[in-house]
Amino acid sequence: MSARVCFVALIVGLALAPRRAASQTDNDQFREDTILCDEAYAHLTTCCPGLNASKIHCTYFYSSGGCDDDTVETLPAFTIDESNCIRSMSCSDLVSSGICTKAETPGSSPRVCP
Amino acid sequence: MSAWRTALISFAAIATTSAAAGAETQEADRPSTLPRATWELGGGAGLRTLFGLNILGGDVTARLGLQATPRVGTFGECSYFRGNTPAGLATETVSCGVRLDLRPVAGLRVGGGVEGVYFDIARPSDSDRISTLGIGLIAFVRYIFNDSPQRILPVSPFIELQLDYVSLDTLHNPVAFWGPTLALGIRF
Repeated sequence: MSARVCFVALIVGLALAPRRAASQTDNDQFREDTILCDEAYAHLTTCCPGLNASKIHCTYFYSSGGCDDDTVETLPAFTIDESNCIRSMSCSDLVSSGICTKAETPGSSPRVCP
Repeated sequence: MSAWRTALISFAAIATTSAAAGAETQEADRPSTLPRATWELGGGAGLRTLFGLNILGGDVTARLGLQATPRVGTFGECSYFRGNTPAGLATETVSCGVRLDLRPVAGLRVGGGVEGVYFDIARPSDSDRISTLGIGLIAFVRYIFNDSPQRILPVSPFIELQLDYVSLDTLHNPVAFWGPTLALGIRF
């Protein structure tokens, strides 16, 4: 009895579950995290002498072939919170706190800012 | 700088002259040559907010319309707004739409309209721009000098405050930007 109930629940669940299309690509850059990342990027390039800005990427990309193994997702270098943090800091604070250095290697520490 | 000063002095002179005439309130409701085709040019400063970023810039607008009655006019308009975020990301907005222009009392105009919008923003991290389209709502209040069907002067200067709210078409809806524009202009 319980097995039959579980089977029916599974079928109903699969039928009602939100599904992605079999193949899906999202290359739309018009997102809050990408634009705020670019704003932070511009602030960093103004404030950080010697910054190797080519290491900072603010691009979003998502692609799925329909299976988890095929899924690729690239997020901007900075989260929304990190971008807002960078934007709110003065140039001298960005340099003295080491954020200019950490920003060149996003992902090397839990957070670039604060 | 002197050109700006000359323009402002001219604007003030026309405004003062037309205001001093003082007959517009009585003349406004007289029979006239309406409906009359008319057009406008304007420009000013505006602020737009997108994702919490304040975009400060300048706006120019051209309008072509029909003053159907002394109290009701309809206009088609196109505007160009160029601005920058605090860190310098350049944005461009081109919008075209229609507006209804109502005249509750002489000189004062209020109204609203809809617009189709193209918006793009520079992305310094990849030396590119991203763009999208949108649909906007506008509301405005303005004061027109020399606002009479029997105009004393051939042109009517105006000052206007407009609010825009634009919903942008992206995969990551909802995305919108909004903000005010303060503009000066001439109605021909």
